[in-house]
Amino acid sequence: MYHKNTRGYKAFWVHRISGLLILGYLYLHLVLLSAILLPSGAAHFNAVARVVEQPGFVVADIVLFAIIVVHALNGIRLIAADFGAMIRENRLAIWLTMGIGAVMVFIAVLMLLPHIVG
Amino acid sequence: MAAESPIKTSPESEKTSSTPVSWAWILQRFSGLLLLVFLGGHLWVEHFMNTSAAVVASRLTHVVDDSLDIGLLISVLYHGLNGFRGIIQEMLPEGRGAWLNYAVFGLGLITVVWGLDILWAFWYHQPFLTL
Repeated sequence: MYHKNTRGYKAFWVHRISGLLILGYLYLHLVLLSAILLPSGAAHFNAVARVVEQPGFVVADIVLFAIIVVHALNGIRLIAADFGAMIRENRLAIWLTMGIGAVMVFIAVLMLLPHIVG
Repeated sequence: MAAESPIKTSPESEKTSSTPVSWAWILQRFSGLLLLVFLGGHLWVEHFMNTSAAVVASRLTHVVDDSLDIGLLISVLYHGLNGFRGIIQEMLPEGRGAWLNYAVFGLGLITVVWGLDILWAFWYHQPFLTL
């Protein structure tokens, strides 16, 4: 078993919790899209779309994107480890995923900033 | 385990074939790689802003967009629900949880139909199964 408080152990929990959060969001996403299934669905869908474009929701989108990026980059690290890559350099691999993730989230913030500050 | 094997303790053990590798294990990684393409594409084409039922319907007249959405729906549900199944399986006592595979598979199937009905509603301007 992993020894508690090692990097790998923390990464394992981060991977689990981020995965569950993304799965939860997927169902929320389907619920919101289901506005189109209502009678006069297009009007309902458009109303939902206007709401989720509000600045608060765009900030939530960035948080969601950050969670997805963390899960995806850590997943790539795990697949690399399956092939025996970057295991001894585990510390570097985890820092690398966090560094690349931070850059990706920063770019997302720059892209979405106009929709947050108006 | 779905996410990361806790039984591999040294770099050496990673390189031997003594750890049994299941199809669930391989498919979890394969669907994860597919998601890099499908989810990356989804986030890229959606553009987030100024969307409407008309915009989505017009986007979905292109076969590439349809394939992207259907591929994403299936791969994200496989990956997400298989991961979820692994977490629940771990919480159950050894040998329990034969029902779990059926329950999660059923949930996945229902969700795929749900997602396809949403796409159908955009294609034909009314759902196949109405709420």
